[in-house]
Amino acid sequence: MSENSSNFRNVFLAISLLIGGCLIVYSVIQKSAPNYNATVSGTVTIDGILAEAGTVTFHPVAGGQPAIGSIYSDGSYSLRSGQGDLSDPDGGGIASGGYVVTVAINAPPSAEEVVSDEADKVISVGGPPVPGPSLVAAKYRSKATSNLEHIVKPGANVFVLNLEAATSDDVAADDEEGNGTEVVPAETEPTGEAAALEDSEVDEPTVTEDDNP
Amino acid sequence: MRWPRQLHNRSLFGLASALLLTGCGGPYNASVSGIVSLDEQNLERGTVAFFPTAGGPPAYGQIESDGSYTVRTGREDGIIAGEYQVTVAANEPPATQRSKSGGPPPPGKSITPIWYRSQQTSGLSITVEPGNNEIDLPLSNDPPPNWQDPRKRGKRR
Repeated sequence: MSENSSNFRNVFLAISLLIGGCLIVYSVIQKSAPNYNATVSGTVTIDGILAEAGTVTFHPVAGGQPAIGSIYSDGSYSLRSGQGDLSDPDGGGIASGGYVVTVAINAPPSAEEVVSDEADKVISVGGPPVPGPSLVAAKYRSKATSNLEHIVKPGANVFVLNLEAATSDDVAADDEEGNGTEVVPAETEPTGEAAALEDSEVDEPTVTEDDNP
Repeated sequence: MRWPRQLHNRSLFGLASALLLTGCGGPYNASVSGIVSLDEQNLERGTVAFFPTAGGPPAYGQIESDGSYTVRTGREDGIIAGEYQVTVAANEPPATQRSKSGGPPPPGKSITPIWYRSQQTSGLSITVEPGNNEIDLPLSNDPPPNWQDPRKRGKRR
């Protein structure tokens, strides 16, 4: 009888130690993992027109893993950390805090264009397709040069990224084809003071009244 | 043994509230869709933007080949009811994929008159009511009164 009950006590002790250990390990993991308390989605435009593809990357100012998101064909994006939430692509959380944003958007690779160009540098023979040229200004590619900054608050955030299109200056030695100046940037604009862009309170674009005496 | 359990509960609570915040339905109480036309001709491409006059993130809609659009805020369908300034911008597709020297394709010609590209000059003030809104945007090539083409006063460089 007494042997039986001490046996039972031992088993009970072992089990509770095991459970306790698991809980402690779990809480330590919880503590060391970043606190993904925010979600970010938004819209990307290039000179006022919705982007149709590309990648948005949010680099934490404090260091650590960047959060990434693909741009969908309707210009929208949502961020995730790592794989994010596989069951809910828009539900991936990221840590709140300050971020520098980089964006890469390229024209789709195009077979016809490979043929039509004088092409040694462009053509890929049997290799993977060469990506098309960048559609946005080169500064958005690097966090050293990007002027897009956002403060991510806990909870749901919506950030619109109004980008400038790539210009011929972005490719050295591009001969100006001085025609297409028809296109004026829309509302989108001063990607310059990015902090103020938080909810896209955007100043007057350069095309307006007080521009020129 | 107590505090880890509490922590566990807290994280569950956090998860639940995060789900509530981001969950189905979203925070938007109105939807907007309609047809965009220029001089009675439906546009086939382009971008509609709704800028809330009260501040906050603008909502965007892509113009489909039949001229229709539906606005989304970020990844979610919908918009918050209220006052908006609306802009419309559409370009022809770029003629080539790449400029001769491998640079970016020159942008396509603008289809829409440029005053529709700015909140200040578009003249499209729109009230979005809670619920479904059917808002057609009939644009015109005739400039609004007092319109001055900024390009005539020095080009943007």
